[in-house]
Amino acid sequence: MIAIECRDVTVQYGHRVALWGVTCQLPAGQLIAIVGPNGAGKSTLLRAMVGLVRLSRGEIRLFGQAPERVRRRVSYMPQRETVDWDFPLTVFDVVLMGCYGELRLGARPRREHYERAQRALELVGMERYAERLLSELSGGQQQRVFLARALAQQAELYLMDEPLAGVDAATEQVVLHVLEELRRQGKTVVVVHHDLQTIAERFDWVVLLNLRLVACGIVPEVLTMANLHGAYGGRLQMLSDVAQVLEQRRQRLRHG
Amino acid sequence: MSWLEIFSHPLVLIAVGGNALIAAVLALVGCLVVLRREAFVGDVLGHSVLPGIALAFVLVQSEQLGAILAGALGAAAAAMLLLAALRVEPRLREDARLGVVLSLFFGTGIVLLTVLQRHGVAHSGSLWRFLFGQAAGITPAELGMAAAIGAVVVAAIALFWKELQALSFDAEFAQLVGLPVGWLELLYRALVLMAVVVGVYSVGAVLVSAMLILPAIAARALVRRLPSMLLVAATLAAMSAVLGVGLSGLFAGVPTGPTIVLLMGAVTALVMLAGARQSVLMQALQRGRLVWQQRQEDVLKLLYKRIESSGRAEWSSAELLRTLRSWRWSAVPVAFWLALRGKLRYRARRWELSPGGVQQARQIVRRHRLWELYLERYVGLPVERLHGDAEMLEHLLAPEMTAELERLLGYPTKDPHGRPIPPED
Repeated sequence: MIAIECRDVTVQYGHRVALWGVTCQLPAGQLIAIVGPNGAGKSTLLRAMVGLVRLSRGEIRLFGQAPERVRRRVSYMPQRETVDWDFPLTVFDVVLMGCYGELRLGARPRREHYERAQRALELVGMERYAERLLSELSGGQQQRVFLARALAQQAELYLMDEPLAGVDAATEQVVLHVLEELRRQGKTVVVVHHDLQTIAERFDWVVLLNLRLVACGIVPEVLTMANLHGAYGGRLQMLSDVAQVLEQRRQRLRHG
Repeated sequence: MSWLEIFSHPLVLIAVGGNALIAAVLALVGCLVVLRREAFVGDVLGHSVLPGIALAFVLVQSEQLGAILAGALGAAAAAMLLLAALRVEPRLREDARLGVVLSLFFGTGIVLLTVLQRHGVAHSGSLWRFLFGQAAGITPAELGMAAAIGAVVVAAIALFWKELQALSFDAEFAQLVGLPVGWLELLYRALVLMAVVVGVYSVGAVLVSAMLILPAIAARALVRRLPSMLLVAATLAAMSAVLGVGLSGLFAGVPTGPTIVLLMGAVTALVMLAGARQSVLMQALQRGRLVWQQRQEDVLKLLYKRIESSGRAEWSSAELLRTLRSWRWSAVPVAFWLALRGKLRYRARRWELSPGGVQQARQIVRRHRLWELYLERYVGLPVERLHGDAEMLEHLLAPEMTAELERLLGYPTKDPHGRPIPPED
């Protein structure tokens, strides 16, 4: 079964192209990694999948439907820098927000929601921190709070933006464990990730990206030297090098 | 006039009630504004009501409450729309957009008011009150309007609490879980609009943003959680308003609105200063509590070791006092506290450790001796030097660390001095 279908997905921010004609099909029930160099459009692709980014061209379908129509079945976990961690809320308050989608406007969370948030906290090993303020958490703990909030949504498709970036060893173990647990339950999990080694060891499927789609398929077939060269080295890399040199020269002109 | 005379005058009572109400409403909405880091938006909206008020006056040719209110709301809403529209222009950053909209609307307002006055339009001079406010001159009708708007604001915040909270913390997430973010955003903007417009009646267009954000900033520094932040902000605001009206009644010539704002500013400054010191204070308190706890454990240990060495488990008052004093004078009040907590008890004219006291003492001694043994074996310190080092850390060992120590040491029964290590309970 196909969970995600991208057809000719192109995204532009102003004059800058962030994604260019990406076409791929991602199977359901798999642990899928999106990899590529910095600025390859990994986060943009993920955000496009949930409908947070407007496509300049192309189409994305989740479970055969438009992203807006399957919100309940999809959970998105942003990079943790996207929110203000000084906000006066407790860990539990935030995790409970994962259940808000099912509540009518103005309705209070019920016991089942409290219990579900509690279970999500336990899954990420944060139950002892339920009443902690967000400002009192470490980076890894913040990441786990976001993970718990995503889990509380009880979705079928999980899209996570760099859940393993800059976290401590304990959190990394928790995240990897949760990812495998989700796969065991038959969920589809798409993760933006950097470390090729973990991908080779733990993931089923991989999307190799560098503005354009370089390769997409099962891990052993995609993670080849030729493909990696295509994504990280090669001509596209040279293009971005040239762009960097041009930018430096422009800076010099401006300040010189 | 005395305070009593001031507050028993009906007109003053209306001013007190009206200003307190308005201040509280602004403070509630201000909490959301401050948390969303939009403090300056309040300033822009406050300044932008003026042209609307002037136009409404021209249209109805009177200072009729409903018309003026509608004009103010309309102008502020237009300013908000213009702010949003300017977002498509990438060369203007947020601060520049705010500056542009503020000066545009405020300038227009001043021009209109001046023209009206120069042309001698009857009563148009009274419109200037909306610039700097006339907090003392709130009419009963305005009080009613403030109450109605206040009720709407409070009801909306209470009803849509979880949605507003989610929206303020993480708008994208709120959208993705399916909350109607567009409507909620509109609701939030409407709340800010209503609060600002009602605030203009009290302190005027120029000072209203201070009333919006100051209590929220103070409350943010005082309390940890969002619901208490709203309550504290509203309370501080209302208190400042009451005091401000009182002060301006007490001293002739002191303007009410600015006094209220100054009081809020003073409260905020105080809280920020004291807040910084308070954290030092809190740290000292916590240190003190830790030392106190250590002293208690030390006294329990002392008595337990006396039982071990002499075999006697009870003492007369004089004996106990001598034992404690020989160790440290400060042990006497600590023992008194332990007696209050029931760790030490007086039975048949003798002092003894209660079962709970014995239990706690055994665990302290156990930690102490395990730790001593560990230091000797792994750190290699000579036995006679061990005691002091072990003493420092034994209070801080968590149960799981103690268990780990024991495992590492192979479940020993004797410490380096050959004394028994009590088993775990």
